[in-house]
Amino acid sequence: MGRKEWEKGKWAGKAPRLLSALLALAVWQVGALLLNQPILLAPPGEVLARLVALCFTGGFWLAVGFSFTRILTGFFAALLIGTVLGIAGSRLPLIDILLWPYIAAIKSAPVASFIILCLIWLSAANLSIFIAFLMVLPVIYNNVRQGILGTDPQLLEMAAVFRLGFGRRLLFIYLPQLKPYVVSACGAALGMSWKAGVAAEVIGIPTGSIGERLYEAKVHLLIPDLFAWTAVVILASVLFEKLLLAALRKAYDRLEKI
Amino acid sequence: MDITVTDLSKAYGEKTVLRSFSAVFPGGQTVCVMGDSGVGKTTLLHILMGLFPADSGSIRGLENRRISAVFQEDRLCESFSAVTNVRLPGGQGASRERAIAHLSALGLANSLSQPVRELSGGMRRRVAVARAILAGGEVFLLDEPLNGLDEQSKATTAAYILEHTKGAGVIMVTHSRAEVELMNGSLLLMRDAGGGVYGAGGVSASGA
Repeated sequence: MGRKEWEKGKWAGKAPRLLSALLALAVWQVGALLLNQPILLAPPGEVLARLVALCFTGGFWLAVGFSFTRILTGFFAALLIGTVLGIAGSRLPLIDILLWPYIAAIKSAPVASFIILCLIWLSAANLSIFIAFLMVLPVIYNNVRQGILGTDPQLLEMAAVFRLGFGRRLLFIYLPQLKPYVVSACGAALGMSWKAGVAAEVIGIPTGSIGERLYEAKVHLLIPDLFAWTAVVILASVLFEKLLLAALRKAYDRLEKI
Repeated sequence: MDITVTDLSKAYGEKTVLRSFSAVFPGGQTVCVMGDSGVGKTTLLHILMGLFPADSGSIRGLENRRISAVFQEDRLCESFSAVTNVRLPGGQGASRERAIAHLSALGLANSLSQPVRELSGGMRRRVAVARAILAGGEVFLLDEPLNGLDEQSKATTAAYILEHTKGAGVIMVTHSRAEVELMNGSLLLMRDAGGGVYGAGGVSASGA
């Protein structure tokens, strides 16, 4: 079955995905029952109970706030700087060439190497900002650059003949052209920023972070806690991704109604 | 002011599309350029628009003059409305009210706010024409502006162009003698390189 038939067919919509998620939960539950070793695989009910209990502790929200603000600071800094560099790199090949080694190194090197290296230079509390920034930057840079390079040359010729200024070219030609690239980049990069940011916290162990809680869960073999905090990271990442993409779509809707 | 084109040549790789083309386009008049496909009509307009230089030859009479254009393709900003597209190059003078009046004059009063990607080919063509007119200019370079329109729309659009380009120089590429008549313009025939080019109806031209 092709992708289009799949999307149009009976598997389209939210219901099949919800059923699939429930099935995965059931597999997890059966696995936990068969293994019967909560220290290796905590059952979903126990994880949920632990998650609910954690929600009623003050430290939970402080940890969520700590990691949330830092990781998103890194994400938005990369979004801004990656966009500026992407625009510059698309217009000036020299900039693209000069940035190439850094972008390639960031994309290829293990995130743990960067984390350990940066721990020497940065405080553990702010490490996740920089690591999230570093992981998101190449995604945004490459997408923005590709998007601008893919701009319809005929529209650019039209802009030249009508002598459109940079502001109008940006609003009416480049931003609409960038829409799919920015949406796709934000979707991919946001998940990465959480993964890398939390990994940085687990290694740097800044006090009061989600990473510290995950580290403690690992050291003390608190498997329900490990699962619960992992669920928190997934929920925060998914929730913010949805909010960000909705905000982006709304901004584009407003732009198109100018 | 006349636009004088002298010995203009242009080749894409091995293929010569314009060879030693010369012509004088009288200022303030409408000149319709006709000729077989591939004879270099659109290339000539693109050179006059300044999109790329000719390989050789010269153009006089376009210096510091504001050019407006309808391209062979519509070249609209697809996700924006007809009103926004029409106002795009017009600056302060292209108010929303003026844009609506121009689009309405072309029969688009009911399609003002839709994204242009949802409009039919003929409607999009009229949006492109209205954009060129509202942008204003001393020289209008129109590449088949009536293409894809039904007979009634052609007549309305031609009358609209004539009304709003009075006093300006208009060079219009077309494949139809009926459109030349609608535009009440002089005719310049372009022929392929081998046979040379001749002009008619008060427009002088030579070369190929």
